[in-house]
Amino acid sequence: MTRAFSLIEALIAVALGMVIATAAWSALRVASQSMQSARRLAMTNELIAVGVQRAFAELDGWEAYDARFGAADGRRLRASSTPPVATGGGRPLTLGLPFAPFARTVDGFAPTWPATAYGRGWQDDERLWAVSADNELTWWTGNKAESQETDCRFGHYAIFGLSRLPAESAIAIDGGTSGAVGGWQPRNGGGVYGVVDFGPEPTPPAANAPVAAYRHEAPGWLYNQIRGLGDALGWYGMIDYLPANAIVCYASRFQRMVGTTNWSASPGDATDAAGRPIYMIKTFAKANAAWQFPDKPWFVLQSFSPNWVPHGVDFLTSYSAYGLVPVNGNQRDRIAPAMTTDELTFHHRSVARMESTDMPIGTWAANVSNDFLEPGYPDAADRVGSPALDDFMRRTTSASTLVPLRPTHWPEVSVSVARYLRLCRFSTQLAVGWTDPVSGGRADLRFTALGTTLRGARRQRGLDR
Amino acid sequence: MRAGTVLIVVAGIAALLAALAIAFLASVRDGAATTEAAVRDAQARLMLHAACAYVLEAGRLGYGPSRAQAVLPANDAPGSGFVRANAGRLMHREAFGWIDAREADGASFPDPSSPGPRDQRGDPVYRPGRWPAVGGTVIGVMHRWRRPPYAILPTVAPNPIVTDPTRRGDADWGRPLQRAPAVQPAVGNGWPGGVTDAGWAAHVRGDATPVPGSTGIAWFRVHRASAATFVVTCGAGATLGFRDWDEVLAWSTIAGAVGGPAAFADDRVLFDELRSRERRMWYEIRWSGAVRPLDFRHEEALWWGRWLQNAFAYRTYPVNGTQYTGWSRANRFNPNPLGTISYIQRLDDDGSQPLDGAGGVPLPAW
Repeated sequence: MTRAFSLIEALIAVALGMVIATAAWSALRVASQSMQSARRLAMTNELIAVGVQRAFAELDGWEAYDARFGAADGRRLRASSTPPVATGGGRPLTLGLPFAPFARTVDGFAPTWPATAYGRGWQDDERLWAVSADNELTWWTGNKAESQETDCRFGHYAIFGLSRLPAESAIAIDGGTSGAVGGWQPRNGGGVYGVVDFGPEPTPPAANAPVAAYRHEAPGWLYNQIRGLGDALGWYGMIDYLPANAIVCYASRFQRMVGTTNWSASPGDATDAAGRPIYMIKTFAKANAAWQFPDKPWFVLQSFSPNWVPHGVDFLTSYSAYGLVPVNGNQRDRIAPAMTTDELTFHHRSVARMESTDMPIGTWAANVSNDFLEPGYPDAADRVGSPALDDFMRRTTSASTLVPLRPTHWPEVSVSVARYLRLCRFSTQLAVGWTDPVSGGRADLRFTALGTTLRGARRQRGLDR
Repeated sequence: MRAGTVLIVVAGIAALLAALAIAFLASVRDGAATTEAAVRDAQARLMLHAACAYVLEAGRLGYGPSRAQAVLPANDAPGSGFVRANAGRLMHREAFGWIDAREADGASFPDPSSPGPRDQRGDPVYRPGRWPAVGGTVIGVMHRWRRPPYAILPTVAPNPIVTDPTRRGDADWGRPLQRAPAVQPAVGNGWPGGVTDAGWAAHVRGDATPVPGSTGIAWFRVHRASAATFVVTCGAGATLGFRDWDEVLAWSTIAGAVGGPAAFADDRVLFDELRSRERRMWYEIRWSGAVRPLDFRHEEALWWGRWLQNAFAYRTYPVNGTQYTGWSRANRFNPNPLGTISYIQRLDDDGSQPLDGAGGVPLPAW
């Protein structure tokens, strides 16, 4: 005989069974969700790793700036343009982009550049100065601090700078002569270094500049090199090519003395004791820059302090940032997807600065400007404040989505690269960002690394020797 | 019957769980492999940093006493690491860059056709045909040494002033006495009584024993292609930088590590396996002797009310100098006292050359 179970027993058994079944179902669901979550995380992790490698590839490949293997549209940074600007010397102006061949932009200068003694310093067909800007031997390698209290044994800047005293066509650099105005001689003596022959007196500019108002002649070799580099490649490219010790200043063509500063009255204001043009070593308030410097010497870009400083790359970049603009813009954020060549030219000559209180535009603030480029350049204006800096950062960032046509349950992963120069550092900021498709959470992995430089990228493409 | 059904159900569930677990583990393993590739990429890139720093330093520094001759020599024989100055004094051997400016006249030095680095007397600091001569190659195996050459103790205050109130009566109390050298070697030398030549030698030599866990991770290799142009190979892996098995056979030792076939258990298959898993990248870099100056100001006479009358003031601020301390005087403004790298160019493939010289000779010949 088998014993039957009571109703109570049956109900308890059913209840326990339901509890167990529910617990099992919940456990299965949790396990399933955990597996799915783990898979999603694994996929995210994998995509991030792929993104990191994509960023590394871009670090060396520069495809966002010049599509070495892609469509021709991606090589628009090889272009150059002749913007509708007024120049100090009235010469034609050709401005190149960072991947422009040198010859294309330099040729724009050729008709008005001196052909012989001063040297253009660019083309191999110049027998006297058969040098290229990529040849370190062409650059002055002296000590910037040298020459005031020493015998200039590392070289005299004046020989390279080729500035002139009024009405003089040749200057002997002789430490034994008297302390004449202009101070060509080293302070503590030294030997005769030779004679700097400037050639004939230049023709002064026709408008708004009496003969007595200019002191320096422009077409020196150093002028050609630095000015030519800036015009050929923009600020970032110029500094990329400059040797680390380069003085990023030069005596510009037909610079005018103006009567509103106390240095204009002195007949000895042509050069300092090291043979450096006064123009080269003085900084000015930004508001005065345009009319004091029709050719906009580089130190104006760094007009930070009233000290008179012959700027090298150190000061030039200490308060200013120079960025590179990717050819197709910031694709992820749909920022300027296709700039015109003129726009690209403009932005490759823009500067982001932190301004100080001695500047007329206000107290310490972010400022993006390129109005030192050329007066009258289209859209040349300051953009002040944090939106200006944001704009600068957006334009100089290349961002793209890793898998644009991904399934909806995949995370969105983007890769961005920003290249800029600041504090003497060529910095490449890499970032991999991802958005979780479930939570919507956004995270970024930001890092930097050493890789191919602009000049290296140009060499990869046969644009540099 | 009923028991068999339960068994089948349980077995099915177990199989399902096992399949899920295996699939999960496989996907995680796949993700780990992808991550490992990214990690190796990053490690190899760190070697580009190391190689650039090595090139910058090797043009001017690093020509002191060889590790085999760490004891101060009595003469300036080649390889001693010292040169004799005019007064007969031995001077530490240094160099003046990959392109020595003193070579400009083409006649001042014994071998004007060979580019730098040269020592104070103008003699090349290398032997022809070997690194760092043009055409030479060197490998830097980047495991961590137990103690690097010339290691010093990180002691902040080797001569602390006695300020303990209970010792107020001591003669030393409150006095800044220099009883011990401010910089002391990491190797125990028993100063002041136990200083010996052997202790000095150990200090100079360091201890190249690899720190466990730091081996087989990364290396770099530099080939001097021309006077100032170098091909850098960056590697993340355990091949110690050997290009192939033939090079392994040719070199018995490399810097601070067991070289030759013994490094790979005399097993070519093992080397090939390591080689296949390794990340390698090639770059061309160019050295320039130009350095960015320290913060430099040329302060004109305007501040002193005079004009061009001996009032020019050139000022240079030493790195981390105490005068005019400020953020612009910090080290970050002078990161390149040994030259600069003009450009870095990623190469599409191996542009480097085989190791120089005959086999069996340690690579860092100097």
